[in-house]
Amino acid sequence: MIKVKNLEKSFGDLHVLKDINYHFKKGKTTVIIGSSGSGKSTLLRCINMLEKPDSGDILLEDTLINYSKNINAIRQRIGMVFQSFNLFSNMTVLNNVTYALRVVKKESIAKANNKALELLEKVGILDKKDNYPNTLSGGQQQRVAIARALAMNPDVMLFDEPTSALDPEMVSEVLEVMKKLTHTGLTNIIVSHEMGFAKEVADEIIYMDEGKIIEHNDALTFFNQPSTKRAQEFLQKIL
Amino acid sequence: MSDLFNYDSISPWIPYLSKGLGYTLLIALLASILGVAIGVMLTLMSRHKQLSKISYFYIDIFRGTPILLQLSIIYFAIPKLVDTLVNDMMHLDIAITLSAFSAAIITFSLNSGAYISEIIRSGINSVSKGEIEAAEALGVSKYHMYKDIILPIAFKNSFPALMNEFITLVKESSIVSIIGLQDLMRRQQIVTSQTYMYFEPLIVVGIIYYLVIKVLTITGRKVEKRLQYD
Repeated sequence: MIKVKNLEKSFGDLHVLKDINYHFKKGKTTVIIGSSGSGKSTLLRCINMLEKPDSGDILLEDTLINYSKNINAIRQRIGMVFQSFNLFSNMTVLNNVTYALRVVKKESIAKANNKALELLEKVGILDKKDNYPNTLSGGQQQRVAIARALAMNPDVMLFDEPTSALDPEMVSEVLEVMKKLTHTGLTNIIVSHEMGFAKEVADEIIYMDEGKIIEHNDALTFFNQPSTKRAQEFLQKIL
Repeated sequence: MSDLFNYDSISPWIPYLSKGLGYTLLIALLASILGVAIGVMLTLMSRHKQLSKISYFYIDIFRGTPILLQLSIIYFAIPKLVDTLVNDMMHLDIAITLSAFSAAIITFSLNSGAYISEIIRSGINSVSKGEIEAAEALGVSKYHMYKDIILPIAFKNSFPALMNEFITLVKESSIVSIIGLQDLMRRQQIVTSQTYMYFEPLIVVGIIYYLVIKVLTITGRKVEKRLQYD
């Protein structure tokens, strides 16, 4: 689904991504783990060009994402959920979800509303549809953000530490929603620190350190018998 | 009481004094509308590499000098300068005049444009980077991003400062009295010269200013509350 080839990225003197190569397979859920500063969020943000790679290629199926003239057309096919929710603060929950349908996909208000209501029900927040984001809890906001991304009917979903900014008691409500998105044909790429969740939902695990992919493996193997020493040490520290 | 404030002597002049409010409000209103237009233009210019220098220079000059000086230059100095350039140097005979009202509107618009551009700029900066990224990630165009997200939020965030600028304009417009426009202050001077009363007309004019600004402040707060998203 998404192929990353020889990806390099630096912020000034800081070399964040070093020769990243990976093939995110269609319909699979890949969880990227690693300590902070290892480049995992940057890798995710390069996939929809929120960060511009210095060199290397990123392909969505056969379309080259970087160097693409029409990045907005590609972004419609890639949904993104952020650590800090980033809902549009001047729009109600319903309008947050319908906004891109109306202005990007040019759907009618009625059609967009129908789709949004269906998704809001799916993430369990239909009763808050007329609220503004700042009246919702973090967990509720994040579920709206997931509905907003899903409304565009993307092929790929990117999750950038979706539960890191949440109070502990709200983590599970968001993870439950995310779980429902696995094995649905959607390609999920998740940066997360929730190891239990990763173990449960991931088809593939990528372990990153200092801007490199140190190990990638299926989840069962990775958590039971990681093949690299650094991954072993990392798991020992956090589990 | 009657020795301190001679109501009977001033009361016939109150309607005359009140009419000055028309000029005061008209100048503030026109200058703030044109000021917003100039302010938006300066803000857009400040995002451009070369044009930003012009915008910076403009704001620097208008914020760095008193408005009384700016008004004097525009009303007294520039018409004379243009007259010299056109008639003396080009040997023409064209009447160059600028009415006091036009000079006042031009000065206050140019001056408030400089302040308003700073207000708009900080309003735009107050929009969270995350909301902009979320819009980008959904494939929203720059045009829609500005129209539907950045500018509405920036406007809401800068509304109190814009209201404050309008109130400042109402008060500062009093200096147009020096070029003879019959605003509240000018009318007080006229009444004083006719009646030799200082205290009474000044107090009447002061009360009018105070009440108008009170109404504006309260209205501003109400609008501000209604603009909150919750």
